[in-house]
Amino acid sequence: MRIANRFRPLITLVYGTVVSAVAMLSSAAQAVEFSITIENVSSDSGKLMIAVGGKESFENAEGSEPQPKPLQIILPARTGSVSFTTDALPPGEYAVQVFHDVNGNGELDANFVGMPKEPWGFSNNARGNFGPPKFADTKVDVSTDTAISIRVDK
Amino acid sequence: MQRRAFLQQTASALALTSLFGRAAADAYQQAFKAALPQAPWLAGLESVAQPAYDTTVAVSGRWPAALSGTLYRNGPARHDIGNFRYKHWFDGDGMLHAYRFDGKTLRHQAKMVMTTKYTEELAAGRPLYPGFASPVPNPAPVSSADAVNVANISVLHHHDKLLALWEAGSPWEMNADTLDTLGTYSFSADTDGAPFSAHPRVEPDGTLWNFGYLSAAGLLALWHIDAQGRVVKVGTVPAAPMGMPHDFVVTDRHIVVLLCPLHYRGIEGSTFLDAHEWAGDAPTRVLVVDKNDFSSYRWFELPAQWVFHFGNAWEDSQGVIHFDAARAPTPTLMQDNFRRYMRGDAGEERPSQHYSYRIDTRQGKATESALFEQSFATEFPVIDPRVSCRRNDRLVMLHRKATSKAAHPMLTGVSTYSYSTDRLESYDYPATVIPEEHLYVPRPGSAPESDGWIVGTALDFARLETQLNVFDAQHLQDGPIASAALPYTLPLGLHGKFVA
Repeated sequence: MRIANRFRPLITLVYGTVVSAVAMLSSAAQAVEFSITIENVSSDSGKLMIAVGGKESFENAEGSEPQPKPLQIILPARTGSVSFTTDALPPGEYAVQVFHDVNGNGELDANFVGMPKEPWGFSNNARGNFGPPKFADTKVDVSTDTAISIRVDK
Repeated sequence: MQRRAFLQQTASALALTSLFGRAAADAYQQAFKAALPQAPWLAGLESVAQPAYDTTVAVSGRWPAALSGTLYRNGPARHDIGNFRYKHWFDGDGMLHAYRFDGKTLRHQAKMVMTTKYTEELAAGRPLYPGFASPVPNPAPVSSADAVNVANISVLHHHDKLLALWEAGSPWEMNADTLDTLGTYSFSADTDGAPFSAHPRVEPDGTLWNFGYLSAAGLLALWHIDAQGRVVKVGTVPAAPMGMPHDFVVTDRHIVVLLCPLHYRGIEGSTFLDAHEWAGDAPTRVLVVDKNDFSSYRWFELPAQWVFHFGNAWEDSQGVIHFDAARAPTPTLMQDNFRRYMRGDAGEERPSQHYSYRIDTRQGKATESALFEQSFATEFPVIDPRVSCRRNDRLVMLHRKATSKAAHPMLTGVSTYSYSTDRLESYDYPATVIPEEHLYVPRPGSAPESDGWIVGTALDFARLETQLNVFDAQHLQDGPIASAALPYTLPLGLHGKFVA
């Protein structure tokens, strides 16, 4: 699947939804293609909820919330792997987080102490230590056309 | 011999690395091996010789006809992975034991708990994940506590499930007959993976209470499970700075958790134990939660102290909560001695003293006082399970007297105490025997605390055998009335449960 919709905030495609793509004033000369494959998808049920952003959208400064992730994409889940390509982002360093919203309720379900109950993953397949990984462990250099894969797991 | 089989199993996993040359034994492993001949008590901290046991031996003495059943026990057993030795006693991978007795014979069965960590590291032939207090080279990220769950602390038999318990993750379900590992156990979808500590309190009617701690989130999780294993309710209480609570108590109205000031400071670049800092000037915070409503709780304060284990708790008609604990001034035993043991060094003695506590919920005051003299150190307090979470008169515990001539630094004997008569009875094991936790086993059909036996295992490092001993609970100081000895030693373990 190809998603090339860089200036439209909400576009429904045949196979997926770009929830938000914050307008990036990337000229054609700067555009890069970022291909992401989600692997180990355990079923066809629900959706894959994907968010891509830079450091400021993953790590908050003391006492503040992180910025919204500039690219948020919802794709239907398919057993095995699901791929897409976007050129909505200017060249830079990005991290990708994804979770498999198996029951389609739009949320990463967690148990009563906040631990995820649905499969999730980050770029570089970083898993973190007792919590989400740090941006430094998840960042991907997307200064040129780049393809990555991310494994989702509980 | 099965010891060889275990070594071969480990060796085949190591074969690939052997091709490229094996790393030398690490400093702890070298120091431990060097110390063992001069300090034979260290037999209790050797890695278990076999991954599984099934041995039947005859019993000796006057084994009570009415005493039959199974004593399940758990404890750290595998302390070395190839040339790597864990740096702390509590890191050892758990092994579940069943001591089955019928009055004539004792059958000892045991199997390693096949946790994810144990299974992956056995296959790799090297440590992959950081331990509780053992850094490893190039550690893999720990995405959840269950990735490093070694299921090595205690065992719970509840609603016909046999569960091996760790402290910060899921229970591991075991087959009660074969001791095969069935996988992590989930009480419900909403509680899957949440921390379930190693000392759940079970009321006489089977109602189960437990807690769990989430250090990074600064949360205490609370569990209420009925006798059929169904989750009645769960909840969380914000409790930062988190400590490392190991045990707790429950009365007929309240849950009481002591947060000793071993404060969680963040795990970045360190082990879990080293992520904590002892704040000796800070109070011990005492959380008292309404059993009927986990959102209703109060905090009290006690002086800084360290507690692993409580005996029991009950509440009087004046709203005063009474409980007892083995209390140490600091957590030095855990922070220092239990590391030293792994390199063959006993360190200085760090006795804990038995205290009784009162929390006056109407006056808003918590107080404590020593129950026994300082020269009488205690640990592993237990009670007749039929008075759990109710007023108890008797305590059973292990002790060490300051005058002890034992040839080891561990506990040296077993004691009983009656509050009503203020009578303390004790039995001292020989100088070359290390007792493990001893339990109160009621005589079937007797009234609570009236009649029964005290049953426990012990390591005789002179005879190189692990024993199981039975005492008449009313005549403890007469010594064991019956016993059975296995033809091998087992690593010193932690907690058990008797199932009739």
